[in-house]
Amino acid sequence: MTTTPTARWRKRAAVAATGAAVALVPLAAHAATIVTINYDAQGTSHIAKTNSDVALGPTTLRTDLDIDTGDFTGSLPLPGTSTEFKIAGFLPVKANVDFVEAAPLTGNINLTQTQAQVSSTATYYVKLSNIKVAGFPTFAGSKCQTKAPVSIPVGTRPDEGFDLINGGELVGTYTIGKFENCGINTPLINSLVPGAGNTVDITVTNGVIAE
Amino acid sequence: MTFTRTPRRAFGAVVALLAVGIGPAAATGNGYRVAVGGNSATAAHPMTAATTMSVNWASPTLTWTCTSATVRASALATAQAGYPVTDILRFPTFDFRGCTFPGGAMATTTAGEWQFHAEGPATSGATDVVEGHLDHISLTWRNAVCSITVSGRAAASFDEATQQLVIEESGFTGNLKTSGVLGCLGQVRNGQPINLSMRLQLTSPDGAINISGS
Repeated sequence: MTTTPTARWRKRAAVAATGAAVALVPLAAHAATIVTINYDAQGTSHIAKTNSDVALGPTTLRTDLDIDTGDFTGSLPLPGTSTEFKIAGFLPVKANVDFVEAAPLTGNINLTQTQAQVSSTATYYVKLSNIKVAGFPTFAGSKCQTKAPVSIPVGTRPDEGFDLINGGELVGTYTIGKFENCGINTPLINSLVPGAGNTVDITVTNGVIAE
Repeated sequence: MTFTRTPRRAFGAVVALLAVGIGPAAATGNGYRVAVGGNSATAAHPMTAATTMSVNWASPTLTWTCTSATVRASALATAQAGYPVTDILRFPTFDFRGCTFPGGAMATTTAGEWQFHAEGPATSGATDVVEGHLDHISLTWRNAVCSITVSGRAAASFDEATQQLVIEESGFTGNLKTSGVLGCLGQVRNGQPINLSMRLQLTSPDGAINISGS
């Protein structure tokens, strides 16, 4: 009789789990060695050029982790949000902001001597809508978004670890490129929003192994 | 030159002691006289054990800890009294708690009976530190992304004065090795040597454990 690696793993897992004092969910490996872990995720992004904050989430971070290599793919869908800033320091601008996933999240969890370190990259088109200047609507169309996807690298701070179940804090810095299809507002938006030095800070918690 | 009868006997005794290399009433691994509470009649005396500090494990690339390890009275751990005895302390199971691996908590289970096997000199005194090793170590750590079994033996010594068993396997000798590695993000491989540092306070309701020669 032969058993598949997955079957052997499950058999060993069942034995090892007996009497475990640690509240861990049963192994949920599917395919070969991929474990799906879903986390709660919530954070903010600071847009440098407008000196404004954008809420990120709450949402669910899904990771499909290769437990042999630490590589993972996944998704971090971000619900629509809004931002508010001032032009020239006094003219208020409001806009809805959507992050449209452009590619799967990719990354790696690396075990150092004493902790796990995460590095990953999420990619979105940043889309603006319902732009109001001084309270007045301005036409920006329905396809006002960055020309190219915005790549947002996030990871654990060098001195902080990531707990595969309890999560951790992921931070990063990214650049927003030029917008297009924003009608007559395109030049204005491109003078106000794109630029480097934008930051992101996401708290990831409550990892749950998907069955 | 001639010896009188008495000096010749004394000389022979000195030669005999030098040949043994240690003083009288000492043993070096072929069997010890073990007494518990002063009683050396053959019997297995119950005992409990609890760590006095965190338990530290290390592979060449990772370190991890358990906050404690205990052997409850119900686990039927024993100190074997009698003569000759070499496997002096027996631990059918350990209860490891608070084990944390890089990346998260690990559930820990042990297997088999771990035994302290004495090897070093021991006298009839009550302050010896008797060297030896802990045999038949086998335990498995497991969480959602990693499973590791470590098995083998570890250097250990029993301090009669403190009634502590100190397990100190260092230098990645390979006496303790990994096996059954699954996952672990590629950071642990089968056959890797493991270090272990652990200090157990032993308590027998029948009294102090004493190890001596024959």
